[in-house]
Amino acid sequence: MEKQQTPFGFHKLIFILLILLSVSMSALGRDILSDIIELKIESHIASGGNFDSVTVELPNLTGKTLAKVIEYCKKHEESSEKTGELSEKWDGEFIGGVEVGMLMDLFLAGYELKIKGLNDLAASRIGGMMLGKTPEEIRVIFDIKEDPLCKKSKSPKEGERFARDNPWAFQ
Amino acid sequence: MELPDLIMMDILSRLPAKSIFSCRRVCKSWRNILLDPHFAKLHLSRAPVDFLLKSEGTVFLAELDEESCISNSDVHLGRKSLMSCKTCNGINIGLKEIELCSSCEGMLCVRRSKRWSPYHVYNPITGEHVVVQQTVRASFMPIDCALGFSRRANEFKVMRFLVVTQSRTIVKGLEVDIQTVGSNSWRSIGETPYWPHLSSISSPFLNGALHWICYAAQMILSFDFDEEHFQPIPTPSQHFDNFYHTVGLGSLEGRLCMCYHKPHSTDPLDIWVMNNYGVKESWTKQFVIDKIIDAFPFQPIRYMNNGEILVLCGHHAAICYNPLRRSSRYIKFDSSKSTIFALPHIPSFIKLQK
Repeated sequence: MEKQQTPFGFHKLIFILLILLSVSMSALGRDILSDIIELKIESHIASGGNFDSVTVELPNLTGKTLAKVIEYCKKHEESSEKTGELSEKWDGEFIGGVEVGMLMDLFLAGYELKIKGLNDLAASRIGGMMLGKTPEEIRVIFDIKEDPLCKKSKSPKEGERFARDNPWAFQ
Repeated sequence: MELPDLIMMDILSRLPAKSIFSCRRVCKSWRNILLDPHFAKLHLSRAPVDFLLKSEGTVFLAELDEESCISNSDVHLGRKSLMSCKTCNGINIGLKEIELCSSCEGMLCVRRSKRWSPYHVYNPITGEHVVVQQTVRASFMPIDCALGFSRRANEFKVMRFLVVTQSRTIVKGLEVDIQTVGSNSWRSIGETPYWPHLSSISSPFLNGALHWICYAAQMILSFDFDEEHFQPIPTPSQHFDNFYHTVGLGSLEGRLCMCYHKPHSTDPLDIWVMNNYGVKESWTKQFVIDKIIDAFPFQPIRYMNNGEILVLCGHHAAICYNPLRRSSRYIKFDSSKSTIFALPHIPSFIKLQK
């Protein structure tokens, strides 16, 4: 039986490795992505597992997100090989047009694959979207359903009762 | 869109204090995350040093956000970018006679400018405060105080400097007492080995210790809040003296910095950085800034996101210096009426009382 809880089976691993190869086994790719994969295979074999059935837990990335992650890694590999100069401008353009859902995915990918730069970049962009915003505006941006208890009550009495039962909303 | 709480905590912990207050009202799950003590710790570990401004009976937190980093011109920190601090019930710190003594790890030490009036350790972001009563020591007189933090014990400590004077001359000193905040008892540390230039409000806290400059001894005096002892730290070999130079201490990315400057001259401001803590040879003259303002002391505060360094000039203005372009720009504290007193402060949500 196939394990259902892990998003990537062995054929997916091969797929990832192929992508990594296409990133020319980049320093960044090798250091980060494949290290994780190797470690997981090693620990799998060490614990007596069969190599045929190895599964690697990677964050549940969509192809689109993975492509973006690889684009990021590729660029940073290039710029660090050349001069090591800061690619802040590139980073800004890379993250600039990304919509919220994808930003969250990129943050998660950076977090789980331990690509600190990407993690920080996505986090600061997400944070930037909250700067100077009211709670209502933040709810809209992040598609957070207003807590039903939070809605403005029609009569003042209800409001009072709500305030009494939910002091957190008014502090 | 649902993200695990820990991930959300990570994202929110990078926000400035002002936004955190807005986020608290977004939804209950965010609020729970933001009130978690782990959040306070994570936030403090990431929070940049900002400024507290005391003006016209109010205290504000001035957070230098991304916008002020992008701009190439002078920045005016107007009302819009300021956040009023929480008042504390015990003492109105906006008042004229209230002295801001020292800031450390998100807490502030304030007192009324009377000799034996109590100290208040106070978090201006949450409004929480603890009173540190003074016990009078006969014939002594307190002349300065400082707040420090012991990481090992996870405790804040207040120290006070005392002297004995006879007909306006100091005949004995400098003695130091220390009190762990909340313990309500003073312990004597004895005399300081050297006589530091006492302005603890400008003393940088790093490596678990506070640092003061000693002109006569040509060194820096440090006080370790874990071990509770003084230790000398060497200065760069460049000679300095009280009559021709003013020296300011600061820190950049956890490294001790020393600023030399000759007042009333056009000489540039030299910033030395101690790359290996305690090692004299590791001092390097890292920045030379053309002087654009006469002030005392100059205190390097931090690196901005764009690579500029932020230097507080006296307590009334600050500059951002770009080492690549070798240019400076002003951070102006907007005040039309009264003077503003600025000090470096890290906004924190940590609770004082456990």
